[in-house]
Amino acid sequence: MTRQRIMWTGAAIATTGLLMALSVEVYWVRILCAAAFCLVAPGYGWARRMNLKDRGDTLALAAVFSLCATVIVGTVMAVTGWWSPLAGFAVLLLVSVSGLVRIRRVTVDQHHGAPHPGIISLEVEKVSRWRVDYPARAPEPKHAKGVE
Amino acid sequence: MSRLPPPKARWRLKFRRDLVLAALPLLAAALWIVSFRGADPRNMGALGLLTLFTPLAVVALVLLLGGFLASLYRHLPGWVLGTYLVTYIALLHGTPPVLYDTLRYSWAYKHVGIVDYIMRNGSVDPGIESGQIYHNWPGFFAGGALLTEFSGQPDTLVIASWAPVVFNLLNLLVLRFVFRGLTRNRTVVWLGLMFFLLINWVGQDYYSPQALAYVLYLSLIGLMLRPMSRGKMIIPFVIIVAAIAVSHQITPMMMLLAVFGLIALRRTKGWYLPWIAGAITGAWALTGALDYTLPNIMDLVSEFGNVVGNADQTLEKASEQTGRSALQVVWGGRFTVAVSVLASLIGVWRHRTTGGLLLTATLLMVLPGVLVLTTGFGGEVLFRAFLFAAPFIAILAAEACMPRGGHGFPLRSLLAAATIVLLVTPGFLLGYYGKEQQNYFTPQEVEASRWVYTRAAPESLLVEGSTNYPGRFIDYDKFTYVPLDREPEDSIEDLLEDPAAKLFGWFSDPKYSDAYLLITRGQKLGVEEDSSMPADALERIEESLRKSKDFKVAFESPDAIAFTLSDAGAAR
Repeated sequence: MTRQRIMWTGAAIATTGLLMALSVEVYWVRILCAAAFCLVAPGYGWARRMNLKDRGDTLALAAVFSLCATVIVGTVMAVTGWWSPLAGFAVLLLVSVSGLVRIRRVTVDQHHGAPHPGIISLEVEKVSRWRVDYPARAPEPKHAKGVE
Repeated sequence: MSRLPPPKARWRLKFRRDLVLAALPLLAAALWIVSFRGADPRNMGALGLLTLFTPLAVVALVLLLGGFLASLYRHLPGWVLGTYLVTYIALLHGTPPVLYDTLRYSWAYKHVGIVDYIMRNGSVDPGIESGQIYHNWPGFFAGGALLTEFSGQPDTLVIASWAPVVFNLLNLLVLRFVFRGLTRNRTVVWLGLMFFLLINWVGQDYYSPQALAYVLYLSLIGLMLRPMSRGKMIIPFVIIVAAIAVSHQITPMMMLLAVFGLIALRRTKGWYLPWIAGAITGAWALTGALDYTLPNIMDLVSEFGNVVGNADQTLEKASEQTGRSALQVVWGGRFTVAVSVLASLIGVWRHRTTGGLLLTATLLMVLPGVLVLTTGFGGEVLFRAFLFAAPFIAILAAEACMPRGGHGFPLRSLLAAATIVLLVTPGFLLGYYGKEQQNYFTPQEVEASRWVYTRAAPESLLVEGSTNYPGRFIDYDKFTYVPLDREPEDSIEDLLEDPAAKLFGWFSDPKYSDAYLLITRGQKLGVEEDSSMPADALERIEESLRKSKDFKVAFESPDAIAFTLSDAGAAR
């Protein structure tokens, strides 16, 4: 991990901790945090993968995907009668994290030398490795020579 | 010959001017807040929140809208333009929750009641008698219940109060995504966004499934307007369609039309997309919503093709308004529709040779008209059709202001845009805020409702003066409701002859464990407005019950009164 990334992650953890502490005491902080979570978190990583090259567009899709995730998780729980806010939160958290992280298997031949900054690499067997890309993005399209 | 200042000085001058424009939203917000300081929503007159507007509020609005146009003219960056629109939304749609301190609009309370049901029971009941349609399309309510649980609130009233702000911000964000798929001209995109916010007076942004489905519908169109590979498009498409299909009944119809239209125009590749959308919508209607779909399918079929009848349902509702202020509200909204549609047609005509954007936007503007073919939607279909057409009316109206070449934003374009803003804003304010007198409920009214709902035993009869009150938001499924204003005309006449005797008959029916009559300030205003009963009907009923020995006042506050049977009445 690069130094900058460590700093950002640290700042995010500290802010989350502070907000969690505040949300116990101040009711509207918890409402804001809950709304922000349902409106952004589950879809953010998945929206980034769309590679829209515009922050506004990415944010729009992040909000839409997050709304869809919240609605679908809530509907499944309400229709099946298996209502559990904690389980719902866990599922949405899983959706959020899986959007941010991309795990793929690459052969050793494709993977020369040490991993790039921000990539965690686990050697599973001699011929292939599991690569965890964080944060996940859609791969750049492969263009043919001479094609824009 | 005048000498030009050196480049550095010119840059400084430009920077200062731009800084003033960037800071203008702050000034407008400050003026707006000062203008509403000490305002009492109880003093709202027949023109709703507009009666509380002061000259300072008008100045704030002028600064905000004028500043936005000036920023567009000076090609300021997107974040400045965005700040203007976000401030506009925060002020216009954030004022009611701050000023009222209660949730506005009676339907929003009913939606809060469905969320309350899910939180209490952990499920929905598609066969339920009251509010069945919501249990068959529960997506919005289930998501709302999940959010309420996460926020640690006992009910969703606070969240619902701020829904118009959140939904309008989401509309802004998603519409930008849609418009950028239609054109790369940033001036058209931003002007279109502003026009949309100024013409969308229909008021479907409250805490409701249609507000959520609308955001999702727009995002689906935005997604289809982007060139994408099949693999990248299909999963988001399916997810968005599924979320719409489980949340609302009318939006899927509009969505299918739009998807089919975009495929037919070859704006999006994928002949299979309408089939997928149709299959998901149909699958939900025939599984999760089967309890509602089967018994009501004949109603839908009977309305199909009855264009005049369906449109007339909306017009009939509007023609019931007879007061001068009510007519101003109705005609204000209609005038805004007329001006914006006219501007959009000018946009189509002026840029008829440029192809792409025009054809797609025109199709998406015209398609909602097909809705009138299919359903009357309880007298609201014309409003809904306009709502779905509004984004594309807005962007075409923005096109009307642009020079023929489509480049730049010269003074002439600025003047054209300012003229449209001047023409549509009063009608928007009348249409959106003109009915706030009825939509506002005092804390005493909410308290009275809460008192009745928490005291009444399950299986009680709740007689409501009218449906315009903060009702059915707690334990809504446990009671039987009789709104007096929905009674047949002869039943109302019969009731008003001797209210105490008639209501005693209803209250002493052994099938109810308990019975209450609730009369509130909002109900009286509602009856007065829609003329469903004689203007003083509720006052006469109240007076009759006060005099009767069979009834007693169970709860009383300056804005609400609840009656139940007295001991003497119960013993009879």
